Amino acid sequence: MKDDGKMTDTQWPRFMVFQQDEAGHPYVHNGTVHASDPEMALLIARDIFSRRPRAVGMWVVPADVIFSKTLEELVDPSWLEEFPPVNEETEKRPYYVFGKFSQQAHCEQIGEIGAQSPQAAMKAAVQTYAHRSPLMWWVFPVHAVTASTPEDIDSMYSPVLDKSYREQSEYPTVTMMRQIRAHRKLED
Amino acid sequence: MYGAAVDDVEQNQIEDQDKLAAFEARIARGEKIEPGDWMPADYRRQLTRMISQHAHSEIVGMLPEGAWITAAPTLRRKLILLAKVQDEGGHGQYLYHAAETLGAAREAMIDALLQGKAKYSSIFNYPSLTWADIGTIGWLVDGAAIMNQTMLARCSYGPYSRAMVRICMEENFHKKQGQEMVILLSQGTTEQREMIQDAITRWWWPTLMMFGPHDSDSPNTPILMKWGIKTRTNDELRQDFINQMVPDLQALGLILPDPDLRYDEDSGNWQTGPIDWDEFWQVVKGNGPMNKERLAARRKAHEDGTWVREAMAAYAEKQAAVAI
Repeated sequence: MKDDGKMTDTQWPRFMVFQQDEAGHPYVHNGTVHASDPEMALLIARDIFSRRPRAVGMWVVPADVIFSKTLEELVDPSWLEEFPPVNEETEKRPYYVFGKFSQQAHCEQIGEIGAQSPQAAMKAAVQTYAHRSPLMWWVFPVHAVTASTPEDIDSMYSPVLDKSYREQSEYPTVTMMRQIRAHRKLED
Repeated sequence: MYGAAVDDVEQNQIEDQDKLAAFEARIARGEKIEPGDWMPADYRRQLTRMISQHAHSEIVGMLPEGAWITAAPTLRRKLILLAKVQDEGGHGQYLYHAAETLGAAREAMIDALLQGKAKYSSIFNYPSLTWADIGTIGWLVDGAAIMNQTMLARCSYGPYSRAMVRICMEENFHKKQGQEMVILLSQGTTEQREMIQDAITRWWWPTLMMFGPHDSDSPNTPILMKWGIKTRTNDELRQDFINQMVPDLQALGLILPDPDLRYDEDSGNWQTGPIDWDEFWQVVKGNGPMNKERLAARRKAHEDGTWVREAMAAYAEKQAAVAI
């Protein structure tokens, strides 16, 4: 997910943002923010992504640690050689596995897997979760996540629930137009 | 040496033809293209152009309405307008993200906007003169944008399509709050009715221009449709919008500034008089009523924020030093 290294990059690092809409639900990707550090990334992400729909938790992950493969990329086995061979004695680290389940969908959390490199994690994920048959796979180290805490919910995510004027259902324009048309008919 | 190089080029071209055929077959099957998938260079270029212009439009689009936040007549209207302008800022961020997945750098896109090198929707180069403009922008301008964005939500590039789904959902609030305002003003006092009539008169034609030049003057349309970036043409979308808006505006007793406007029984379409494309191109070229003010406002905002960015960078540096 690197920016192809096309230009000298003086901008702040990109963080991928994931959002959980209810306790127990999977985290779902929704975009990126640029920030000077993960803490600031979480605050900016909250402002941009939690206006609606509702959120109870957010993760930010440096974009360049996300290892991504589409189905098209997986067909070509050369990706297995992109990384240097793994020393079997290296300790395994936990990786989150994410997948995209319909053409229109965002990537969402599938599970967790232990591996010695992103490439090994991808290989294991594709084997372990093949039955879920996602269209795109992401893996990234669990330790790369900076997460909001349950204590943040009240101050960061709950206030939006009272702002019902942000919902289109607050504006009865269809009824208003119908009444005006009926009234004009009566006058005619 | 040269012979080998030429063979390589030919070989690459044959491979690209195969890849192009596979790519177009995927689009024909309704699949979404994702970052990492093969795509023609021109697909990437067209999308980067469209998405970055779209992002800039959201950012500049905050200005005409932001100007009225402090002058909103009630607390409710102020909260609504604040939420709407905040949404537009968020939409800009979703779209810059989508453009980044194609390899564009956010900093470079924003620099291009600030230096006046990037295009954005011309509609935002018209002034918002009265409070009635805020309702009109919501119903007409956001309504026109939704027609275009509903189409783009089905586009073949995954990240753009997903950003659009989310934006459309939020824009429906923008449209309906605007429509509610226009309805209330049109049924209000004489002064209110005159104010909303004046706003509709000024915004009608620029809103129709938002859909872009006629199909006959839109050279990118065929390839954009072939690759599933657009699924409908400028003229088709504009006609749908006109058909949707004219009966509603007339029901409210509002008069459209078009003596040629008439209903065509055969086609079932409302037909307008000719659009003033000279005006459209003048505004695109930077000679609209507010082009200079809009860019100056963006530059000032960016410059005024310098100390915040510097403070954040200094803090991050200090934290990193502590961590070591």
